[in-house]
Amino acid sequence: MGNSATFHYLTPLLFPLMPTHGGSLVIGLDLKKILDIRAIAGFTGIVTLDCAVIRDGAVGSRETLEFEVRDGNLDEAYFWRRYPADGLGYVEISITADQRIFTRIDLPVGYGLLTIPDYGTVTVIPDAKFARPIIIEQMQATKTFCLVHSAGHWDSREGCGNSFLFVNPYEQDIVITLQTGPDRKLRQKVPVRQVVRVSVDSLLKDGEWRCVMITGNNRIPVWDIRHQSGDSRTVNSIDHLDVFRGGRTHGPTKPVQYVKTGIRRFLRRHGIIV
Amino acid sequence: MTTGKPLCFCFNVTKADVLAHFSEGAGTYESLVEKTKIGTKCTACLLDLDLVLDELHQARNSAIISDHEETGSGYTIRQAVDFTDSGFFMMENGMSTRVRLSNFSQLYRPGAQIVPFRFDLILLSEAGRVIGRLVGDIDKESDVTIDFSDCLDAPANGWFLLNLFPLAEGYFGTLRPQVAIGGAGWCATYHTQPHMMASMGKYRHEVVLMGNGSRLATSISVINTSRRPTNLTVSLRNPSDGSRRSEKLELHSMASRILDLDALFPQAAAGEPLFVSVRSDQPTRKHIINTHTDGSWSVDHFPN
Repeated sequence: MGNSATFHYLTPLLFPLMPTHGGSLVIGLDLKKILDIRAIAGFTGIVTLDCAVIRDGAVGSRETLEFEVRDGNLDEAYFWRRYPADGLGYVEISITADQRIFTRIDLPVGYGLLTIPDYGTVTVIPDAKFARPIIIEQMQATKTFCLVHSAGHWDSREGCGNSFLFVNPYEQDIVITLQTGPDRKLRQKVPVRQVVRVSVDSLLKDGEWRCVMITGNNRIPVWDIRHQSGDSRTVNSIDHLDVFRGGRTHGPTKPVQYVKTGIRRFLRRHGIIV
Repeated sequence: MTTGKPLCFCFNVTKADVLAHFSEGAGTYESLVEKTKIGTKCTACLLDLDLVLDELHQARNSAIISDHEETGSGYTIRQAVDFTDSGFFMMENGMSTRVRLSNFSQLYRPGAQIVPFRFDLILLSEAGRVIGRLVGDIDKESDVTIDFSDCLDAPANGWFLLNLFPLAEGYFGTLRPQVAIGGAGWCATYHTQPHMMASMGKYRHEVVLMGNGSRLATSISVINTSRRPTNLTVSLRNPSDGSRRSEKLELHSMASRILDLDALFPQAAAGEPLFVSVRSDQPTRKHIINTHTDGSWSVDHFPN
């Protein structure tokens, strides 16, 4: 194997499960694409896919599949499964190999789908169990794990509800804090391997828009859920949060670039260019 | 092991244990893990471990990065880093679009040098014509909701550019814009994306969809961010049987369009996951829109 390969695993992916009206979470993985972008070329060996469904703090079901890879190719390149979305829980998917073939452990993958009969589908972005580069960078820059969503909102008159879903896939309880202002805080414990849902109506006034900041005594995967205000099972949108970046507004530059950027800003400010 | 609050709860490894390991001279990350098993069970401590190792690295190298060294050229000119995001908006047929901007310190604790910003919102029609503009300021430790109906003379659909520019030197606050699109009884949000990251690259253009019964119930918003027309190839692929259908379209420069996949690919719903891809010969910004039977939407951007 090449000298650049250093890992035999990829960071596990986490997909949230939540109660819906007869819905299910569909997860599909293009294994060929994963090998193309993360494994060394021409790998021959075994790749193992482990899919665990965790509810109420315990593994409810587990499926482990082995795929034989020959020269970077595999017979069954696409994998997909459907999991009932009938309660709080999560799906954890791990990909490992029998050799150190992965050049990085983070894995950019596409969406899962929450499908609800006679309603439609909602895209669900997974979170990485660990080693997300952007979170590591944020922690190094700001020393605090802090997630942000600028558009926290609920409106009973409009029928719009909003809640946050917390998944604790780790082996210790996590205490999270949600804040919508200096004096508006809510603390909540998320026990080991549990999922907790928190509605924003305890933090926001009816009809208010507010920035929600979330932190915890440990990193924790979180999703922003939009649903009907009177029915949290009718979910229409699932989104991820952003990290608090706190970067500098100014940076060093060279004279030529300084002039070019200045001209572009002048032209834009005066409507000459878009 | 030393006493004190553990860095790794699973194996009771403290920060002092980690530092002691590396003070022994030949200590490496691999030997640390082999000796203590840190990070090998629940993995939640890996983040904290990264910070400790980073501190150790900084202390060992004692590197002083000056502006002079950053430029590498001897110049110490500093310039504001403004950023421009883009996205699509919908205002016709009773829909609403708002952009939320908030500029707070981390955890609402003033003290960091959060600075005011100027925003410049430019709205373009689907044909690529500028139809609205709003310029304003967002003060430090505050937020603003921009309702697109305040920027337009009449309801329209299209796309927008949002430029944020710092009015003083300091730090960014919670500035990542969120777009809230809504209708009767629902609201969906999506993050804006950096305008320069509009793509035509190999791995950036494909998204999974499933459909609802006999319909795909999915649309794609495509924005041509280039000043040249672009040729689009929209393809629908079934990974189970390898079948593929494609349609070609043209999109004018700086124009946007909502592509209804049920109109492009009739009778394509299969009851299993499909992949939709959009290739273009100019950079394009793309979002996938799933529509529901109650009229609500879910919106997400194509992977960057």
